[in-house]
Amino acid sequence: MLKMVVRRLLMLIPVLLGVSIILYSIMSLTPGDAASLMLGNAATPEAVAKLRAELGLDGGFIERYVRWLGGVLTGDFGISYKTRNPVFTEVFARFPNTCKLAFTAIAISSIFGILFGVLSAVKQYSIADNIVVALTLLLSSVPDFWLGLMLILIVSVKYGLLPMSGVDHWYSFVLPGITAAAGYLANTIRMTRTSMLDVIRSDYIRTARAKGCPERTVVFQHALRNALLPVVTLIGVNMGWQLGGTVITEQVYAIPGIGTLMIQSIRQKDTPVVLGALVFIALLSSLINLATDILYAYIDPRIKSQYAKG
Amino acid sequence: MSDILNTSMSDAERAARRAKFKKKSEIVTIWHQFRKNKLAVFGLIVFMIMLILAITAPLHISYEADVVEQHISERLQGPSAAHLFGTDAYGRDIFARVLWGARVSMFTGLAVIVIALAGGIALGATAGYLGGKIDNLIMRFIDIFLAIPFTLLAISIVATLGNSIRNLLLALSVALIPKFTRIIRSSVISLKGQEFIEAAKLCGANGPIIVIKHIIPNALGPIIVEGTLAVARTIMDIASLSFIGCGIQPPNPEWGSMLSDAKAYMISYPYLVYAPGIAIVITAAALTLIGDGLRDALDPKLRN
Repeated sequence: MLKMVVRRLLMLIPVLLGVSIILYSIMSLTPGDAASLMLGNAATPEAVAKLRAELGLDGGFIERYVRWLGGVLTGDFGISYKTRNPVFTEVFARFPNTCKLAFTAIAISSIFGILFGVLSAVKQYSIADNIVVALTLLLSSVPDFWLGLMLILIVSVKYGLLPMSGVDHWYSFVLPGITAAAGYLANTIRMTRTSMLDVIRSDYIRTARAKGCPERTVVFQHALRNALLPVVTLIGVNMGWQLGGTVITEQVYAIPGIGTLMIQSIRQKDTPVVLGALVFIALLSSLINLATDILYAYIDPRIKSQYAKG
Repeated sequence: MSDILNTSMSDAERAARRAKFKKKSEIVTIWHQFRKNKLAVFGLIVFMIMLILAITAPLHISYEADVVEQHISERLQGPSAAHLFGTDAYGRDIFARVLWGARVSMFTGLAVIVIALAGGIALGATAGYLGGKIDNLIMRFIDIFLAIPFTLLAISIVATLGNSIRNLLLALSVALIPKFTRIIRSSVISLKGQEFIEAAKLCGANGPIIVIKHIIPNALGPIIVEGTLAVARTIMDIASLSFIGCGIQPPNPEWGSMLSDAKAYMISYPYLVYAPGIAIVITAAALTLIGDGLRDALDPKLRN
């Protein structure tokens, strides 16, 4: 087990190196130069050259990349062209908001996803099942930004129940959470439903029923525990994606998170901030995927024994 | 069955029977399965209507006069007989723009999937069929792309290359190729070991022929299903990217960029955000129903 974890961690190194090279190349392709952009049209060539040297923009592509990478390895992600603050500070100032949003969304999509999924599997072909299936279709076909706009119009503007922007209270995250959760909720319902339907038809469930287990025990103790395995993986994958995928929701609700920071920085050609934030998110989602795999092995004894053997 | 074995049948009858059996190809079987799924057929009809409306839009709506030109005197009018969905902040008819938006969204969505599938098939089939070092090389490269969240990758590509429909196409295709590569690679690997591939090899077929003529046609089922569902997702992604300003730019009538314009006025004029959003939902839902229907129709376990 430990061997697997170590091997997977080692495998992260080339992946992250690749991510940084690709993103660095993409960002260097950007036409326009940060130094002249910052100083405006009136700047003298000397001033531009001086600022370029200051920002570490001089030298060839490989030289700059190696310098940047060297900094990253010592925890220095460079400074923002715009604010002149360290990138690390900029990213971490926004990170809590993105985290809160992502976890609200994951909580909503996981809890309601499993709940609706089980309900619709247990009562297959009933009215409740049909409603859940229709809801799933709707949720997976609604673009999150439009859902956000509609929620603002109905919940905030018409009924004034929840704030339409900001991060000041815990309830500020309810609407953004629902918005960011929609697509994942649909996936989780589908996965739980399919997985439950598979399990419910298996022999050991028939055995459990035959020996007189109450239906509640059969559903929750016998079926759900087995049916949850693929759902757990899905939730893990969702979590990794959520952290990078809240960009649009953050824009709709004007939440100062990593997504907003990144879009703002992309527009201002603030390359160090964009790179820092992207590499940070890639690292985070890779670690979450690894954690999911480990968790998965713990829940499923069959997989655990596989690793123990190898 | 006894009919076929019946020796009294004439040669002509036998030939006719053979032709009848031969004609019933895979596509016909799939269509028969698909037709049983009422929801999928409903999705197909809705999608066809949208498609026809999109294709025929230029016949009754002029792009210059109705879609792009501003009529400030008629701005922000609610839905009426003259303007079915009302007019936007520049006095343009929302109905006309939604209809032309369908052209933009559907064309871009389909184009992205065609490009991404071509890339995914090329990479996935190469990796899956050759295996070994090349497989490893391609898949590690794909892993790198998969570590970057989809939306962020697409946004950084569009932002770097500049806002245009071409760059948006490129960005979304590049962001989708890794996913398709993985799906195609795994179905190629599972097909590679089967007897009919061995037989083709024994007949002297070389690698490219086996992949193109024998493996890809057999892997086409899941590819089409994933492709259909991906068109639905891509139409939503295009709208999302345009909404945050990293995609199709105004005055182009794209659903996402229309909503981006509408956002500033939506509290006083909520009707502005209804039509483009509903158009996205209907298109995406119809495509999802078709994709799900195809998946069931292609699944041999669910047949009959």
